Amino acid sequence: MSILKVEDLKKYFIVPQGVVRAVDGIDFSLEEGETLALVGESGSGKTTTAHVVMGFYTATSGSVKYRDIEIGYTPIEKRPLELRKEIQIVFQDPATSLNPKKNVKDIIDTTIKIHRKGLSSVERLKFMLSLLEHIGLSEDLLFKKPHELGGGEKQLVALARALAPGPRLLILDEPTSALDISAQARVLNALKKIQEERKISYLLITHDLGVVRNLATYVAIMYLGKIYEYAHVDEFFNRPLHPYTQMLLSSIPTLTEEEEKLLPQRILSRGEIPSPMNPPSGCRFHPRCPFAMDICKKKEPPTMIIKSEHGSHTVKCWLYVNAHERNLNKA
Amino acid sequence: MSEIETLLEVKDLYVNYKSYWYIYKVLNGVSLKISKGEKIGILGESGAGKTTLLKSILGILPPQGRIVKGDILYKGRSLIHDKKYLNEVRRSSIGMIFQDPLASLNPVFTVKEHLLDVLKVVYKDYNYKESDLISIATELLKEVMLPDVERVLNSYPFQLSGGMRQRVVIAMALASAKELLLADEPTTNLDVTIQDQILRLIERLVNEKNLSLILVSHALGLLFRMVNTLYVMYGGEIIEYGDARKILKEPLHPYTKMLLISAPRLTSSKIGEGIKGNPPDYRNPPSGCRFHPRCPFAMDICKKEKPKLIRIGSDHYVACHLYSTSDLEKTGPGI
Amino acid sequence: MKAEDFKMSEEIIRKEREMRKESIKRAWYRFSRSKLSMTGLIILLAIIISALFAEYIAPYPSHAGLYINFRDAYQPPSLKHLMGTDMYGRDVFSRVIFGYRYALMMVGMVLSIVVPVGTVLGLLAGYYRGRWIEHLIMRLADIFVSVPPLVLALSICSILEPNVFNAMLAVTLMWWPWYTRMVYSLASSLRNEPYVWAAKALGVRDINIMFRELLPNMLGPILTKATLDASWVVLIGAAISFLGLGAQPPTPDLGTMISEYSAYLPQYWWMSLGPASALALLILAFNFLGDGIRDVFAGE
Repeated sequence: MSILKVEDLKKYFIVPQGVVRAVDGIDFSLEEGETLALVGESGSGKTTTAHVVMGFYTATSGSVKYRDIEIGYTPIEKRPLELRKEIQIVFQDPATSLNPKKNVKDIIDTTIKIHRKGLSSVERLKFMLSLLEHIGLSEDLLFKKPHELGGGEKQLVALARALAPGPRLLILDEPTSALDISAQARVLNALKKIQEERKISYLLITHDLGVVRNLATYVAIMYLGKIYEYAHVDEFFNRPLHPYTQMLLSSIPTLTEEEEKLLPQRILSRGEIPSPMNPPSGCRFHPRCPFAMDICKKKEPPTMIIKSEHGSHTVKCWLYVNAHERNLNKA
Repeated sequence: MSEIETLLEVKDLYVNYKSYWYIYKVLNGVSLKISKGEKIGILGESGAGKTTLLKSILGILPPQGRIVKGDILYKGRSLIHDKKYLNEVRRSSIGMIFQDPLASLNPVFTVKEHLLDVLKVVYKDYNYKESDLISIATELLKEVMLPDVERVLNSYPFQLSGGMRQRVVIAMALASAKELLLADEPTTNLDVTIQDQILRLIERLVNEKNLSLILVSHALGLLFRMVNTLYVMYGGEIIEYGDARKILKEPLHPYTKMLLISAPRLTSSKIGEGIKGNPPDYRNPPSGCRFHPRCPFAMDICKKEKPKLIRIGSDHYVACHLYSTSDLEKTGPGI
Repeated sequence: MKAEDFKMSEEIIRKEREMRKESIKRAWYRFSRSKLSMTGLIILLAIIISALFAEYIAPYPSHAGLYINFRDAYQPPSLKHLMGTDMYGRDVFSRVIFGYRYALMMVGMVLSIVVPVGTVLGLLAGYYRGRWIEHLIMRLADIFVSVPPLVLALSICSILEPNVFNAMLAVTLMWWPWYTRMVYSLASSLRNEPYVWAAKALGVRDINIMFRELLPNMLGPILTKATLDASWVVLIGAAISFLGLGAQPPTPDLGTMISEYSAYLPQYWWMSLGPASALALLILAFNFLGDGIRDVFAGE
């Protein structure tokens, strides 16, 4: 049983100007102890997806199952404490996700008090200290306030706070985007170590492919509310199929020739992501796609399963549908 | 020393920020030189003082910021001591691209009003009518590849996407950048595919107009792609500089080394160690070498004496006691 | 509990106490830097002490109430009578000191009701934005706010018996919506901060979110406003008495005195000048103090 299974999830927002189709029918599953990276740019719907799983929004339609229990329609306030304990989140900007008026001890203590009742104050302290040590934070930090900590340390505190209840699924919302390189490495190391030791599953939201390389087991590329490619991480970097994936990869500035060779033939990025209120017809990527064909403008491509050495590799693109089937579909 | 014209020279600059209770000694003797047509990058993490350096050059430090020592020369004349010259240079020679396009554009003015504002100052002595300035503005927007220029001119910043806003900011910088372009993290807040487009745009414009470029960023890949010479900043000091590719292949300073190792690589899933500790507290910066508290190779002398920049091989300078020997040439820029 | 556990928790508790003392020291330092706020604080303390110990500080305590001595009436200010005497021969200065009592009582009573009630209501309305409780509270506040404050206060006073207590009641009723509104706007903007979402995700209960996450971040504006409002409360209270709807003569309320004595202007100018300047001094003190309090919270 997958720890998280999402089927045909849709989340629409109704705003005065119309309907924002933030997430428009996606499917994926996450196994225990693995990391699924949802990769996309702004407007792709990856953050909304994470927030639905977390319970900050309820789904418009489709299903979100945590260990086979439907949670897509239960907002966070209505979720039982047992469930809340198992799914936690680390936000993007540590400067605002920690209460500026509280010190580190209070921030983490709040969590411990709720989820591990019955511990005396000494036991809570011991627990907190061992947690901090495990993550790589020194206990001098206990009485500091967030603004007295460096970026990486803040994020590690946010991580400690999320780990205190003992979650099985951790949602990481761009965990390193707001950090410097040296801090990024610290946080990524902590994340990797904790996953190996505790077998926690990660739902990683990011636009940074370097982080994907480091943490992900599987990668899903999102664009305007849909998943256009889904593959194992090695497969993903070795054989990116979808033109958008190739565009993403070739936009990364590389450091070495080695990396340069790794990237696909230069697909120069062009165009901008349109508004999710008015997505293009057919395949949503067609206005920016250098390989767009007639059918791409008219019909949405089906999901094709590609043979691969590492697990499943799916892609939604007319390029990979053989000509015969394309003709059938034109009708 | 060379016939190549030195455009901008920062000489041993010390900048402090003063608040009610504390003095933040941010820049601690920064020296920098850029010649005509040269493209240099400044690599540093947040808090290293890169933005302070750029702002000092343009003279736009906030009121608490003060240049306490050193000089900044443009074509041999001081920008610090000659306010009139500074204004002239700001108007017609140097332009700056700021980091966050949403923050650097005033939400209550249209793009047209923004551009006219800039152009009125740049072409102050030219006696142009408003319609002339509008055509110049239109040209600028076309140069930055903005589609539908009419519409953009009449739009407010919030009506444009991130990429378009940044192009507007670049257009504004170009209006006054006839010789030198300063870019402070120009793509940090943008999507990665848009980043690529913007970088290519900057590259093309710099080459076409033969501009010199100072690009500030904490993103390694970006810098190595765009510049030839690299300055590495830490704690308000230049700790290493020289040919960018050389530094990438053989970083000398421990900070540079550890930084390059920590950068996530696409080729493998191994993660670098990261650097323990935090950037220095400028109210009470570490004595001697400002990196010593975090340096795995710190020696006694590192706590006492600030290392000077010395030359190792051609076009590669480093400030670190690991490399201080009497038979290595002691040079630095500007000497 | 093992010995080492005990020691460790002692350590930590001690450290925590130390930290708290540190931050109080720093807050005081921020406050004391401004000469203006220190002045305000000193003046206010002086006024409070003299009001508390009026019987001992005022030179002629018996003049505060009913007292007649026509021989000493209409005396201009002198060493014997610092603010002169009034039409009944009473020492104006002594009356003013007693008058401070009423002014401070007004402030104390009004603020001690309005601040907690307004804060709680504002928190509830702001946090539960969009739900029935927000509508209930804010519409109620709107009703009170739609009537010009002084008119409202006066109407209440004229319906009820005019006395000190009812004046305070009127001011309280007219003040609470302004407070609530400010807290409401603070709460509704803060409640979207990521750390509030984080708290929700962690399972913190709504009540704790309101009081432990939101409230500490709003203390600055709340306390600052309370201090600055204090001066308004004093003024409005005096205005009510001035119009005859508050404390009645011979009660030495500052507003009442100004009203009574103004009939004797301009010839016996010192009589109304006394309470008027006393009032001004108190208001000034609160204003200076308010600036200082704002500095304390802004400095973090």
